[in-house]
Amino acid sequence: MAAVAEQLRDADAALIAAWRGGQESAAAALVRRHTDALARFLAAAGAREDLDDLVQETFFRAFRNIEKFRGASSFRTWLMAIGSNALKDHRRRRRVTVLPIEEREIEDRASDPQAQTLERDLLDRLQAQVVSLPPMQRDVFLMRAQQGAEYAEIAAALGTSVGAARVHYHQAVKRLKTVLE
Amino acid sequence: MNGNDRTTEARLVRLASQLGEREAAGVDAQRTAWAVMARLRSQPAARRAWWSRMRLVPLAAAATLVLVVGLGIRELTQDGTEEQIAVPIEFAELPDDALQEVLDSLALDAPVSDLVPVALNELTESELTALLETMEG
Repeated sequence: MAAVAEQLRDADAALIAAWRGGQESAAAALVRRHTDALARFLAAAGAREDLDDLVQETFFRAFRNIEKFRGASSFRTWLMAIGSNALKDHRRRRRVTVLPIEEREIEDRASDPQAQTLERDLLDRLQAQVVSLPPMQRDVFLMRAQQGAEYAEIAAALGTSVGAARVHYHQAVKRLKTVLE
Repeated sequence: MNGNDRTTEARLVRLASQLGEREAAGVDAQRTAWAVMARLRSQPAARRAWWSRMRLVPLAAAATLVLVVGLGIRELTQDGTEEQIAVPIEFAELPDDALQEVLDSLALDAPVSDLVPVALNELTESELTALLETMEG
C-alpha cells in the first residue's frame, strides 16, 4: 500500500515537473489522474449541481499556484485542500445554505429510487452529517476516510499541526458515530 | 478506544469512502482536462507582483555600478590623470532616457521598466546610494 502510494507520488512529481517545464499534456494527465477522487471529496463535502465547476476551478487554482506545492503532502491531498477553499468561496458567493438533514433526506429519496435500502439510507444520513461538520473536521475526516491519508500529510495540506489534525479527526468520528447508533 | 469503537469507526470509514461516488460518476475526467487546459490558455498567469520584481532591482543596480566603475577605470587608464576621472555615480542627475539607456545596455532579460517599479530618477540621491550599498554589503 505504502509502495503504491510512493509510486503514485513519484509519477505525480514527474508530471508536475513536466508541467512546470511547459509541457501542457502533463497537466492534462494530472487532471485525468485525480478528477474522480477530487470529485468524490467535493461531493462528500456538499458540492452538488456545481460539482463540475468546482472540480475545474480547483485544478485551475492548483496549476496557477503550482510553485506553492512543496511535496509535503501528496498532490491529491493538496488538491483537496484547494478544493475545500474553492467550495467555501463558492458558498460565500452564492450564499448556499446547507439543508437540514430531514430536508436533504426527502430530496435524495425523491430523486433516487434505490434510496429505500438501509445502506442508502445510512449513506444519506452520513452525507448530511458530514456536510454539517465544521470544515476542518470534515476535510480531515474525508481525507483520511476516502484517501487513507496520514495525519502528517493532512496537516501539511491544511496548514495545521499533526496533533490538531488528529483531534479534528476524532471529533468528527465522535459526531458521525451518532448516525450509526 | 475499545474494540466496539474500532468496529464502529471502521464501518464509518467504509461508508464514508462511498460518499460522493454517485455524483463523481457524472464528472468526466477527459472533459474536465480539456476545460481546465482551455481556461489556463485563455487566462494566462498574472504578471508578477511589483514586490517580487523588486528583488531584481538590487541586481540591476549592482550591474549598473559595475558598468559605471568600469567606465571610470577605462577613462583612468586612457588619460592617466586622476583629475580627468569622471565616474558618473550621480544617477540622480541623469535624465530619464539616459538612465534607461544605461540600464538597457546591460542586456537584462526583462525590460528595465519591468524590473524597476519606480523611475530611478525619482529616487533621492541618498535612496539611490542606499540601494547600491545593499549590493556592496
